[in-house]
Amino acid sequence: MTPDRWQQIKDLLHAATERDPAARAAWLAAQCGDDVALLQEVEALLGFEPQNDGFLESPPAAVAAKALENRTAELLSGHKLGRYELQSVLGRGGMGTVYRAQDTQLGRQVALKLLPRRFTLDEERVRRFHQEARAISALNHPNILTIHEIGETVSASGATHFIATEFVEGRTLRAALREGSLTLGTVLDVIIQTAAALAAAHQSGIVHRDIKPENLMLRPDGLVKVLDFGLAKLSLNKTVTNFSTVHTNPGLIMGTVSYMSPEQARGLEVDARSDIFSLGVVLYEMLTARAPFDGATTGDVLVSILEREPLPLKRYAPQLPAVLQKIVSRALAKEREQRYQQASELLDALKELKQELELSARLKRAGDTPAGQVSLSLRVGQSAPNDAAVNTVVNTDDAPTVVTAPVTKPAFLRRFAQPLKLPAITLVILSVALAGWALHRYGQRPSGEEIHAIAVLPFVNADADPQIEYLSDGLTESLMQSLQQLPALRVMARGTVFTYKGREVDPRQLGKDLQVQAVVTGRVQRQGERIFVTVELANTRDGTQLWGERYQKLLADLPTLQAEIAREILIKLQPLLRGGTVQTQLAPSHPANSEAYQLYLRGRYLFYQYTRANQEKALELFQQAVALEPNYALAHSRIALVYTEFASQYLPPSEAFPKARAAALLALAQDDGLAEAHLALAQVKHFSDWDWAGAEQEYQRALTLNPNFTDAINYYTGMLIKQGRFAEAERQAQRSQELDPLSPQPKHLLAEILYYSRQYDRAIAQLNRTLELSQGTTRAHIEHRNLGRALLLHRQYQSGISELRQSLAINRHDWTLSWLGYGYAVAGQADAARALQRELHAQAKQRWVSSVYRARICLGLGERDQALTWLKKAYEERSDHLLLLGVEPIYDPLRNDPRFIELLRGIGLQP
Amino acid sequence: MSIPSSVNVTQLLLAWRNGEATALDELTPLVYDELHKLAGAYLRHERRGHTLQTSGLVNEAFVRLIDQQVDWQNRAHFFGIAAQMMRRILVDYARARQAAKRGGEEIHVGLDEALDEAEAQSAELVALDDALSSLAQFDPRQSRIVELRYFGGLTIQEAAEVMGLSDSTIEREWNTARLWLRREMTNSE
Repeated sequence: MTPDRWQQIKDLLHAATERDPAARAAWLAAQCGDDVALLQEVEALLGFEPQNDGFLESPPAAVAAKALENRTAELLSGHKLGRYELQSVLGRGGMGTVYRAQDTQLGRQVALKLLPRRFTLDEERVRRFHQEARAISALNHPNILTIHEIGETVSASGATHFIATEFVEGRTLRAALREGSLTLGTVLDVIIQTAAALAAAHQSGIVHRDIKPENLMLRPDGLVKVLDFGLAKLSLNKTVTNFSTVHTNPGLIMGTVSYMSPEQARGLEVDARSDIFSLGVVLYEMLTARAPFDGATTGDVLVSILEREPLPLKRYAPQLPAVLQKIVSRALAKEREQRYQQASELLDALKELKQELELSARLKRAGDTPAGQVSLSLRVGQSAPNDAAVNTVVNTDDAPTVVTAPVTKPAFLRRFAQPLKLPAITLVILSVALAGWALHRYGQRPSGEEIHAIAVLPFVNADADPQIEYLSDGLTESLMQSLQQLPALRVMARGTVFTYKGREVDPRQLGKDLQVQAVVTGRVQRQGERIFVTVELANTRDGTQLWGERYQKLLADLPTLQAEIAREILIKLQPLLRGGTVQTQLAPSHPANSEAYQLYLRGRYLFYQYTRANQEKALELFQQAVALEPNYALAHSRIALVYTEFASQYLPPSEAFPKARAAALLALAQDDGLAEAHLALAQVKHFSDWDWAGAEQEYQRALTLNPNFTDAINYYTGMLIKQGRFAEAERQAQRSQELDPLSPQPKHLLAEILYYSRQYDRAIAQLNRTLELSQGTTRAHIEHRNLGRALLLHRQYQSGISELRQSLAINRHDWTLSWLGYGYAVAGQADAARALQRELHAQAKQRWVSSVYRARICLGLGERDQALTWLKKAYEERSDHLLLLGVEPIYDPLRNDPRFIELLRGIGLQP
Repeated sequence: MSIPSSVNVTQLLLAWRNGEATALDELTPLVYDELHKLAGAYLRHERRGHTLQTSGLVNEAFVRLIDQQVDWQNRAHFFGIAAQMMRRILVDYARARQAAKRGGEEIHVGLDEALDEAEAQSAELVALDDALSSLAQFDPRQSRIVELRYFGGLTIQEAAEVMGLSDSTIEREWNTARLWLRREMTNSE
């Protein structure tokens, strides 16, 4: 069609549409005359008029949305760019899209990178880039991707800059990292080749500026190709602008930011040493599967790069040779003056390490196994076990120290000469290397440096924020609990270390006071959803720091954090511990659910406040925790313990003990290795079932699981006392005293042993000392009562009555009231005694009052028959106070009575 | 910064009008990127993307890139470029879709409500692009008007202003062009 002809048609079309359709045909025929073709054309077009309504009236929104949603416009397969024909997209990145393409002239495959236009606007930059690319190509280095051509094509939509490079069959290091663990040998190979590439480039004055796993290609034959030299220079918006808006999952690598050197992060000029830093980041990530500097936002990552020291490699891969840590630390030095100054230095260090490992592998094959050497085939780069139970095996003879942990992710298995029979999938084994490393680290330590006792001081709540007190206390206790399970280690108990809460402590003084060789201190700070925890392990002989670490975590990571800290300290401590072969479970597993864990911690915190209201609240929190995590064994154990606590005080035993038992069994069904649950069950058997043998078994189990568990020691001691096994009881109480020297509990028990073994004068002396300690605390009423009781039996009636009154002034407990009644009775004040008896009867109408109490006053008054009646009633109530029937001195006048003997037998005690 | 100042773009626009052919080369990627960026921002807020209005994009690109004191001729040039760019983006995409359908590599895979609509529009867009190219061979002005109206999203009045023609002329051209395009597209099916 010619323009003139079309003009003619248009005019007719337009005029026709203006006319009445009925008259149109005639009019048109007249206009066209004998130009039949014209008439036909116009008529044909008019035929489309009814369809014209709305045609092209609305924009192609759906296609626009799809076509425009990609930030960078992409060319499409089949498109030709100069002599290159695009075939498929190989990858997309901030620096453009890379296509696989065919060079139609040379008949070879190339990778074609199209640079986004925004990167090529600055001609000067483009020119410099060309220059560098030429220089890099001239190097002809095997580890540097060969650039064939840098060019541009101009199409109607503008100029497109492209880079044609050799096409490398393989995958990026990022893809390799995603796929799974690498061997140490591979890691060293990749970093060595990359360092070689960098060394060559730096020699020519070219800095890569963007070393990251995405820019390292791994060929199937093992050859590494470094991509995109100098390309980063083209990027105009390299500086991160919107710091706090980019959120990632913690621990994930976030784009290029994670690999920036501190000077890059500051936006300063960079030189070769910046590449060395970035390569250090890559190395760290390959070894640990973690970014050395991470954070929730880009800003956090940058702060981390600028300010924080990365966690030591051994946190994630404890079996790595120590020299690797040195290499990584040096590459990641904040000050570039402290880094390797040239890539060739880093290259040499890595080569040397690799050669050493190869040499030792050969020696090993030859039968001469150097202890603690690491194999190049070691799997690395595994995600560290997050919140796993860590099993420990400590061998006596200083030989392999093995820490195993069931992990949720695929684990690696290090083979020994004598492989342990452990399921491969669920175990992480810190190999002999650990022992070797520790020996190396501590060299020829004198035997006197052994650690056999440690104190974990309450972590300081740095903000003095009562809202997070449970966090600082909770972390302290969780850590203590983890360490308590090491049989070779005495871990100072809660009651003692918590007396140091809020006090400045000199490690050396503490070492003397508590007879410990090491002390752990910590600080906890919370900022919104983040917590910062600083932990230090110090030697109390000279106050030197053995280890220190700063953690920045999200509250959600709390369960993992405490396990992590415990693991790290354990690793540090093990070479210093006394031997002993045993297998224990470290770090009772908390659920990954941070909310449940926090409820648990808060519950624990309140539990140890020892007041009724707080313990009731604690129960509520534990119950909330199990509502969130029905399988939360530790929380179930705590519920059981709260009920056993309530059973003797606030709830009828018939109500509390079944609940305690149910919770304990629930806990044990989840995890039979929980000392707490065994303790709760022991108490149920002890106080409710009167199953002495069963209780003993459970106490023993709890103490095998956690030899430092003072709560269990104390309850067990109480049972031994009731059975009249005073010598055994005393040994346990001494152990408790050793672990918890500042707590009144062991002293209380020692006094009890003296009282029930009828050594009243010694009991009184001991109780007087104990009373000093507990003076002013909520516990003081117990000491006053016990002292009063001992005084009464020592026939010092008035002093005894006075102590009992003091006890009642603090806490008007029925138990004490009955003792006062007994005191009045034996002191000859029968009326006063009867008055108290009446008071107890009156109380009993309102609430549960143990019949044992009323039997007691009767005994004071010499009313034996009535006393026996009350005791029979107590037996029917299954009052746990009855358990003292075998040893309580005031029952001595009844011991030959057959009714009393029958009662004793019923309780399971020998007359 | 990568966002070109409006002065810059305006100057390029003037330079191009004054016969500097290379100015267009520089201008094009700027407009191109801006359209993408705007669309991106727009789509982030309109999750479904149904309501993406090309006219809105072009107008906003104009406001952002061009000094508002510019005369109507420059304005016309700008919209001319923008509409052309939009056509290119959309048609490239649509062609790729069609290619994918014919057994080529599926590049954009997505399951959302816009999918079927996009499918249908893609086919139409490819046919329209071909037809428009044919039309341009004998009536480039009319082709441009369609481009402005359909891809640039301009109203009759805006197109008239940009082209320096009367509203009625634009309307007449628009209507007859559509008749021709319609037939052309129908025949090519």
